[in-house]
Amino acid sequence: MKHKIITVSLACLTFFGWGCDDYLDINQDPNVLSEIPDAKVVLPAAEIGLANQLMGWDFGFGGGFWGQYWTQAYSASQFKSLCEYQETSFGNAYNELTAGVLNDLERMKTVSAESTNKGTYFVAEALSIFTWQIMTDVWGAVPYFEALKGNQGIDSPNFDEGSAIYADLLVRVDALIATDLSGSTLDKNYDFVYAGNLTAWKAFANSLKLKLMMRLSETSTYNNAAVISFIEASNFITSSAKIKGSTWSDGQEGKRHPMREFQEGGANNLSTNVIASKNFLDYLDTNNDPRLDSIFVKTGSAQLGAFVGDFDSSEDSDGNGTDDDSEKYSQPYFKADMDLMIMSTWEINFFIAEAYARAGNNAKAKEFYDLGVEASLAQHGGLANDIITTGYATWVDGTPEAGIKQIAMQKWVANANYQHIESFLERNRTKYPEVNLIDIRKDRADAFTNFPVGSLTISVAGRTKTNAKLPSSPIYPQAVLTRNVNAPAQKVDLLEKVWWNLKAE
Amino acid sequence: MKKNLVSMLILCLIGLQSVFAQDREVSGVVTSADDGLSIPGVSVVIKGTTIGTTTDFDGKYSISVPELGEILVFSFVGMKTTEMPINSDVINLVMESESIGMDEIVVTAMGVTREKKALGYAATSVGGDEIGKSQAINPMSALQGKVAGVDISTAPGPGSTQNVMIRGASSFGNNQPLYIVDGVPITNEQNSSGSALNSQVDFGSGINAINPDDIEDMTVLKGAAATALYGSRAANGVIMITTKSGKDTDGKMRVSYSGSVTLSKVGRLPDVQKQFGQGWSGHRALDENGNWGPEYDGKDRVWGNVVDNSQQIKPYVFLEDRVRDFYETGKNVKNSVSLSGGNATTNYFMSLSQNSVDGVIPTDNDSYKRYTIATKGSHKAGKLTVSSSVNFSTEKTKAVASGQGTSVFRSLYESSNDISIVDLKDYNNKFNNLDNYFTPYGVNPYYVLNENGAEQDKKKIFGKFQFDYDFTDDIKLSYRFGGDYETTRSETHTAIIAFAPGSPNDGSSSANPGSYSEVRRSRTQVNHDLMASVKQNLNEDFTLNAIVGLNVNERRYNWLSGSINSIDIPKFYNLGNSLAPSVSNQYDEKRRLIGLYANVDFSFRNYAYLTLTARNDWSSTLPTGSNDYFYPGVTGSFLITDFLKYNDIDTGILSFAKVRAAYGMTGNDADPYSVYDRYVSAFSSNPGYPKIDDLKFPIGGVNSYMASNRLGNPDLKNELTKEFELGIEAQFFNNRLGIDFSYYNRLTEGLISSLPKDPSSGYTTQMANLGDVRNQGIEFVLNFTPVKTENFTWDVSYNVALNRNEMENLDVDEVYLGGFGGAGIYAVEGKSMGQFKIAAVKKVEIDGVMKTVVDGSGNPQPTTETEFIGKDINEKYRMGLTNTFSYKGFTLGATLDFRYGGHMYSYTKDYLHWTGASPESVLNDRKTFLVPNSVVSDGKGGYVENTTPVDPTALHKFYGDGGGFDGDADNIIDRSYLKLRNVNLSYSLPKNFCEKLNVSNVSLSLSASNILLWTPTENAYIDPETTTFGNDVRAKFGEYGAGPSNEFYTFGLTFTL
Repeated sequence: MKHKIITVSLACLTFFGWGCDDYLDINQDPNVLSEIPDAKVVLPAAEIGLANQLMGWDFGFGGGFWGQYWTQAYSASQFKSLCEYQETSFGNAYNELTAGVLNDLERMKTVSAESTNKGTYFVAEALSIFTWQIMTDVWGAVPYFEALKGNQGIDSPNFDEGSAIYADLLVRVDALIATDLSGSTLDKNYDFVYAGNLTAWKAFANSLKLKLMMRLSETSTYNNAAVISFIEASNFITSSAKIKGSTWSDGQEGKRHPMREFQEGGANNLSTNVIASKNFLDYLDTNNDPRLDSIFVKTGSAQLGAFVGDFDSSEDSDGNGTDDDSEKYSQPYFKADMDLMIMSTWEINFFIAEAYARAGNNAKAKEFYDLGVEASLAQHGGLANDIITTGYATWVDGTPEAGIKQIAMQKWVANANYQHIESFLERNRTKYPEVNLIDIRKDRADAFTNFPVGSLTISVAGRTKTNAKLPSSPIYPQAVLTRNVNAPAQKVDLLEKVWWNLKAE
Repeated sequence: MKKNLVSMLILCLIGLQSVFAQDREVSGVVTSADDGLSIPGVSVVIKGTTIGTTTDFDGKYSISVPELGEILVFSFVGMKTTEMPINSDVINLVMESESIGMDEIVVTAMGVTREKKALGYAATSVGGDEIGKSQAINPMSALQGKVAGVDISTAPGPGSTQNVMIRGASSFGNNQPLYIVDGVPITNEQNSSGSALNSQVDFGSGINAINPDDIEDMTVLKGAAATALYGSRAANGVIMITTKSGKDTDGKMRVSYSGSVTLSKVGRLPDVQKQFGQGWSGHRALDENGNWGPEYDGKDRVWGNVVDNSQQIKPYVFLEDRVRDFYETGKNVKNSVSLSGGNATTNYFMSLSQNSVDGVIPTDNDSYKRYTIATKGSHKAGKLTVSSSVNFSTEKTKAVASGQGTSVFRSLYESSNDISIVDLKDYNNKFNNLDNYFTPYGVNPYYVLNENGAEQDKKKIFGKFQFDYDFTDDIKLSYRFGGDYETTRSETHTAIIAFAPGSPNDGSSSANPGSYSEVRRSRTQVNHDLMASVKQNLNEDFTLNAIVGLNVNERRYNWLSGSINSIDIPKFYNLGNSLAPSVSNQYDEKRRLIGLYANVDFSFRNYAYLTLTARNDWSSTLPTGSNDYFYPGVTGSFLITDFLKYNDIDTGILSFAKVRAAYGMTGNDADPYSVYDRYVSAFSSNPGYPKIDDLKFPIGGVNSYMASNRLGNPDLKNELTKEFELGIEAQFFNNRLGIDFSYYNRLTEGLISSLPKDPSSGYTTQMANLGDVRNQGIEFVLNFTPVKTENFTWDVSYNVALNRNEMENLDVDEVYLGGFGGAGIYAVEGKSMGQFKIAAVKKVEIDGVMKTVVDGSGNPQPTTETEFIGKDINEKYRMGLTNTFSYKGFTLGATLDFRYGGHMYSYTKDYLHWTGASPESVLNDRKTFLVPNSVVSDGKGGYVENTTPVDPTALHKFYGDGGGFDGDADNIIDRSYLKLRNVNLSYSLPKNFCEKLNVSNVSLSLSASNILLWTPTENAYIDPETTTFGNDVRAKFGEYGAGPSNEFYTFGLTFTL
């Protein structure tokens, strides 16, 4: 008995002593992957992640309210602070675009860097450049050169000026365009956007370069002639880069277009908090734009928009006997199979048209302007193009500035419900629609009768906060400022402009 | 009373050595003063000789006394050694237990028994009698208010979890003590469903599976030096539970029964205002869910919706106790039977128990049913002793979800105080059904209660096998295998809430497609202990006792869940009955720990003791190559009285005195899977508002993975606690007055938590060693027996504990410990853990005075960011006072539990503000008032004095949106309380009466628990122990619409055949 116990004990001791390291090496999480077989398995996450943020909570609503497509409903308060021009950081979008999308794209590039098949790498780099442009366009100076290196020990990346980021993005996009893709492929099963069509992705890269160039139109480095020659030498996207509406399973939680998720899952954010703004709705309505009924849904007998940011008022501005807070305003309309846009064909056509307009080439400008408007009408289900043949959007040959305005106004319309943050950024660049400083609160009845249709107004609730100015950029997220020792001081308000935002109001 | 098997065997051996010539026979019976039971195994020795015997199973002895024999010495572990002159042939003795227990044997780390007086650290034991007497369902309830430095709070609801923290929080994550049952760690994880805010359900934790009647003794080990041998998991203290064993009864069977009936009723409910009834904005509105209407006038008025051209009428008056009337009397029936017996070599114990609890909420949707079986046995074959214990339990918990959304809580309070709740009971009645319920903003509470549900079935088996081999009397080898396996199946469902088109409530935001989910969890723990011990008398004065051991522990946890978020056919809860495919999830976790330890005790002349301990752990959760850590400890104690007695110095009034000191360390490893980088199933995050889901793959038939936002940490280290402890124990006046004082100073270094990262780095978090926290405090226990006569005793036990907690270092600005988006508790450097951060109102300092900045309508404005408000969760001190009166067979005891200081978040208060039911909301009879000390912006960056009063028709905004004068910060309330924990009256039937009944003892008890609660005036809302935030530090955040706490009235009966 005695020796048996000793033997067993020694056997145990030996076993544990011998196999200790192996015995304890069980710390790889079995619930996740420690390696991926191929970079392509990350691509769907990057594409969806990017698109979901572009029309998600921060950019979708922020751009919707600041772009004055929408305003906060009278009886609820979810988005009051956006309409009050309270400092907001769009922190969720920052988080998801950096630690989410950009980090995933970086990982794809690292994993696919050695591969002779450049397909996956190409798309990852294209989407990375695209996302970085949005990052610096929205927040201005952000960490760039040292960013995404947390796994190399850089916890507090330095901030870089927007101009430096742009310079590098232009170098990167040139290198990307120069990539020889012959012989390269991309697995179509992992590409929501172009189903593995690398020619389309090449066109996306060209379009991306055009977008980078055009955004700098007000800066001293802008060279319109160079843009024109780039346009004439390049192929651009002929179908929008988007997540197709057929991708969604609208009846399921977490499988919907973001705006549908905010509504249909039971949160009801659109139906209880968002109503059409008078500025945008009246512009479409007055001009008989056929897109009105596919952008907004009536809740009363007619399409009706409200003063921007006037949710605290209970006056009867239109004198119809119903106070403003009891009127039945139109609400945004998102179909179950709504496409989710990354880069649209109309925006590229409008960029091309603008470059020609700036060159004084009205014929070419009209050609691409029409293509842009038609692309938008097509996106709304193939609406008739009367508005550009006989209607309010018919191209008028005029000065370059008039052309720029005409294009910008149609871009504002086309971007509704599709590209809200792009709309906000383009308005910052072109300053169209123009802002009208009418003080609605002073005389609502007068403001109602003499409403400056086709312009933006200052949010009634936000007027004091920004001293009658429109917001120019969000502040920095707390998650960045408090965790990064190299972070600059917080912006004082929403009025700080990014480096290319130079045009006067 | 400690009837220890081992000591009995030793005493038996002594008893056999009778050598002297024998003259006369003396016999008698030894019984216990505690319970009147006979005591088997008492050593009876003739003083000055080695002649002796032991009492048999019936406590009888018989001894031949030589001529010279004059005095009999009776001794038994845990009892006072008594000398009786031999002046008769029959000497019966009633033995007194060692009231203060200084010769008490306590079980210390690794199942080693030691005399309590030798310990160099604080250890508090509570006997099985006391636990049994409480008739509690969960053994920890019996300790509330009785052990200094141990914070025990209970969530309401049958079968819920006990939150136990010893000597303050020293970890960001788990601060729960380690539970050791008969030398084997048991799994004590909490199961819950829902989230802190929504549909929170507490399904209890592992120790709920223990039948309190099976407990012989519970010992609380607090300090690092005391617990170090138990390794990494003992850093937060150890609760050691020794269960009952069979005794040498010469083969007879002993049967014990303990049963009770408990009635429970709802305790604290919020105070509400009695002036204003249904309405909003000051106007009566029949569809409103608030109390913002006009003043009560007592007139008959119609109310609710018009249904089929008819409408109900009732007087417009305040209804007293309308919420209290909703609750019913809860019932708990308990039966517990144990059978035990044995002989000199073999013994067994088995018990069966049954509990059936139906809580205070109507229906049995809050209920708890438990059955336990415990078996324990041992057999000695020569030098080998084999023993085992196996415990099996089955528990069924049904719980009513708390929190926001359509919960019973919300439904009860989102109706005005003039509407009778009990009259809504028939929720299919045409006025009360979903379509026509009086308000579209709420749902009939009876609908929610009856149609929603949460239920868990749990089976748990745990136990041990143990082999002890005695090479010699002094050299032993033990191997102990311990296992714990628990499996649960829980399901929760919410019913469809839908409205007929065109019905009054059509379009209500309460509409809900229903949901159902099922979760299956299993937890396994396997523990091996191999231990060798050597005892050596070095010389006449020195004794050495050494242990070396190896501990291997493995824990596994996994779960599998399925859920649907819409219900197709109503009332059928099945994963297939859905409009969209069901969603499944799974999780698997495994961790291992190996420890090598050694413990050396030196004792010198039985008045000086020194213990050295050391342990080295290797953990699977730390980076390979640097996964081990070493922690030593030393404790010493010096018995002043024994030293004086040894040197023949009179100790005077001092019966006992001891000083002790300890210094020890304990390490603690990390949670699993924090070291390596990972790719996770892809998703795109949407803001985490209710009913908004993240966009989650697979999407459109495509799956994807993404780099985890959590960066692996290859440099992760263990946490290390270093604790210094000093103590003094003393007894005076023949043990009538005793004190026990401890001071401890504990520094825990390298606390592990999630380090938030700038997302620009590509990562948002990393598990890292972030800071050091120090807990220091004192614990003082006073035992006093003011009156002690033959028949009457009055004992007083008082304890007080103070703990100061401070984050000494923190590498980040703050660490989030618990709460929700709008309010949280945080660790901040230089402050105690658990600082509240919440939105307050905008203030500005003008000429040195803080002024409230109001908006144009005179209302304070909430701050956009949450801010620290200088309040935290930690109490300043805690006290407990127990008075016990014994008269003959009667015992009357009462325990008061007092806590002073600390704060908590109360959503109940917030919600009552919103619905206009809070007592504060009738300030100035709801007439206009100015916010005191308020200023308003002058539009030019400056401020002018505010002259705009708060609009009386917009008070719902003033209280509801912001929360009143302090905004959301107004919902942080004082946590102080004084509770009458327990009043207990018990009666043991006289011996002769028992004999007539043919039983050895019968006792009856009546007790009332938690019957009185006093809180400061600012808490008119909630029992401050209530939480919906799970367990541990985060639970101290407060409550989010929790159910009310309960009062219990118990009648108990115990007897032994």
